[in-house]
Amino acid sequence: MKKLITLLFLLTLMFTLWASPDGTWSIGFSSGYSNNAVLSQKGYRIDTGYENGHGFSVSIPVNYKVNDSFSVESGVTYVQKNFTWSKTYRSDSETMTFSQTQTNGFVEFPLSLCFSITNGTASAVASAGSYIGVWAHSYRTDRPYNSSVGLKEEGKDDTVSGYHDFTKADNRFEFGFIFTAGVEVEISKTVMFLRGVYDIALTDLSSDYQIDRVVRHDSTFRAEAGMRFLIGGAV
Amino acid sequence: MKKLITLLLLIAVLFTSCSGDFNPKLPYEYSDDGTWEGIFSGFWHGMNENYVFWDVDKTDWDNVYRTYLPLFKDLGKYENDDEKNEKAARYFYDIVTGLSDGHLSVTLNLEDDMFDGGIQKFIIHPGLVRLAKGTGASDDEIFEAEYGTNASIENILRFLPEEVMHEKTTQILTNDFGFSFFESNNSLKSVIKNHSKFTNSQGKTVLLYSNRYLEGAEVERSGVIVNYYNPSEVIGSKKVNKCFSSWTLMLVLNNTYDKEKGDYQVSIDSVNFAGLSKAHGNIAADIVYMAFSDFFITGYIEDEATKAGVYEYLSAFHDIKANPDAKGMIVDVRGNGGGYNLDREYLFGDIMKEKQLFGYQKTKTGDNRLDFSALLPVYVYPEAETMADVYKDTDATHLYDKPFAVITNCFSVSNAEMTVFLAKSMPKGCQIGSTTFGGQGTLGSSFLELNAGQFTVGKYISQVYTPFAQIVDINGVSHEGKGCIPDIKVDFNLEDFQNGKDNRLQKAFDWVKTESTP
Repeated sequence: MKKLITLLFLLTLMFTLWASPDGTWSIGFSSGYSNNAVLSQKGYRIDTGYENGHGFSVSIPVNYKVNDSFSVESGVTYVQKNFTWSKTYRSDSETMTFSQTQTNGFVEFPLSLCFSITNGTASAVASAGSYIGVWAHSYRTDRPYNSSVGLKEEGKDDTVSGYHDFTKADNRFEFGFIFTAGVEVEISKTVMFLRGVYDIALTDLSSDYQIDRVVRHDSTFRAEAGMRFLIGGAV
Repeated sequence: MKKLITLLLLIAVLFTSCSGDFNPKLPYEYSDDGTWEGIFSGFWHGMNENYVFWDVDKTDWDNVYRTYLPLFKDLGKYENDDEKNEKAARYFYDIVTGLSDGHLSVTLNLEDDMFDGGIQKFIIHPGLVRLAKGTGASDDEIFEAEYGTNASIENILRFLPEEVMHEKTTQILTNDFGFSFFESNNSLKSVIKNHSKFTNSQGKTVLLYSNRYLEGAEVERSGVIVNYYNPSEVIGSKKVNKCFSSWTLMLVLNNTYDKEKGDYQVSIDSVNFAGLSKAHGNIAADIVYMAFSDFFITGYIEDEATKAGVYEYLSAFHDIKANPDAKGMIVDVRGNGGGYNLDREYLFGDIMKEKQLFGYQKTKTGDNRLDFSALLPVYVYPEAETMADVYKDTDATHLYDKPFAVITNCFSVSNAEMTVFLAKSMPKGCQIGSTTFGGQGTLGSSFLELNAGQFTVGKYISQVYTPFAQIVDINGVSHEGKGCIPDIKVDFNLEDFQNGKDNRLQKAFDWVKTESTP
């Protein structure tokens, strides 16, 4: 795994080093919708699992076009990787669901090798690469099973919300693979693009603090639209 | 393009498949191989995923695994072998007694044909061991007392502080206020036993006594006739009438089948006393005093056979609290082993003007040790309106702003400790006596229903009894395994207590009197 990631980085660097003196830089912005899933072993927990969460992303892509077919893209992205953990409790008299919804903000730094097929104006682009990221914040809403309710069940549906204070149990560093596919249109010195982005974390949301830890990976799809502005040839 | 995207996604999925990741098994599945290694592994993983105190427990649980797995492996197969059994028992003892949970008990079933059914049940209760070691007993002494053919519950009781055996509700009422429940041979008085409505079957009977009905009486409650019995049945020296201007007592009798005696036996299941004091000796006047052995009210209300009697007691108790002359309240939870959470609503809900925050609850949100929810505020809710049919529109909320003292001893546990949390959240609350037991989690059904809590490891460990939620105080501090430290510490003196001099009770009355004086 490490060898593969290293290989990808080296390939990307090679293309950068072999850049044509006519290579072109561009920088821009994009935003879009994110949908995150948590990949994890379920074990023996019945009626328990993770539901996908919806969010948004905002990016500043930086692209170096090596030639008509290849480019290297990096930049910085803020992406929400949200999800809900839930457990349904069933008894003879009632069914209740308790849950924890997490709104998680990540700041990512991707590095991808892009391949495009162009007719001069429009291009189909696909890329593959990796990213490193930081888990910037986590806002949580808990709806637990309340053991202390009133005689009329006051408090039964109580929730508690707030920003999570990260602990030693949390792994705030994330890295993984990133893949994109989309279309671009270049008009004058502006490139407009629509693309789907998929990133899959290889790291766990939890730190390595215990033996036999249940691992959770973020698996995030984004649909983005944006534009980049050409800023000239190679330095 | 679609094929390219699909290919890339497939590659990604392959690299991120969880086939190599740990996938938890049910605890008993580890023990299917019938080895001590499997049994330990089942217990270790069961605790790993379902114990709710890992953020406050100091035990290095991974180190326990690394240290003990090879030791259990050396024991080989689970079988009828004295030496292996003793080693296994001692390993489990050393592991479990280091854990913080005050409710925790682990029942290990050891194959031994010297015992009934070929099984020796070895129960490890770290909370009791902590108490025993507090009096100077060593682990070796305690283990020897609890393990083997000569083991008995009496063996560990002798290591416990004196107040455990002597400072129970029935003895407090007897020594302090002259009640009498037992014959000289410690059997329940026949005049009490004879009121049990169940002779040859299991069931509970509510008995009520009050100085309002000196000859006994029949009253109607919730459409049912409820009996007050003649107080002389339970009063010895009549001191109670000198100490209280009004009082009411509820005994709940339990009729159960005794295998050893081959017959049904009547015993006291629960004792609840409440009174408004009058000036007598060192007792100050107009203070509400309640002493109760447990928090079982909710269970009795759910039982149609006992519901009306309990509502009658709650009504009489409310009348005492609603007396506008009452200067404050003393809640005596010495020896109280806890019970239903909802009891807090029945017993204290009528003095609340609005919901009263007394702590926070934390539950598990995943299988890893530190997968916790945020702290959910927990309250005692105002219940005067809900219980209007029982309380007859009288108001006890004046007590909220008045001194509220809780008397504790080392065997005040669980809901008794929640009462301490409640007292310390009140405007004028105080804990008097000794540090409590330290068992403050909330118990539920099984680990599968509530995502944490009690589980088994097949036939080998028939019960790991542990809560599904932590409760911490209003400052977010956990007192699990340590107990609540009193604001005013008063030591227990057995000789004084048996001679009717209850130092802790006296301190509580003195404190309420002082705090209520303008």
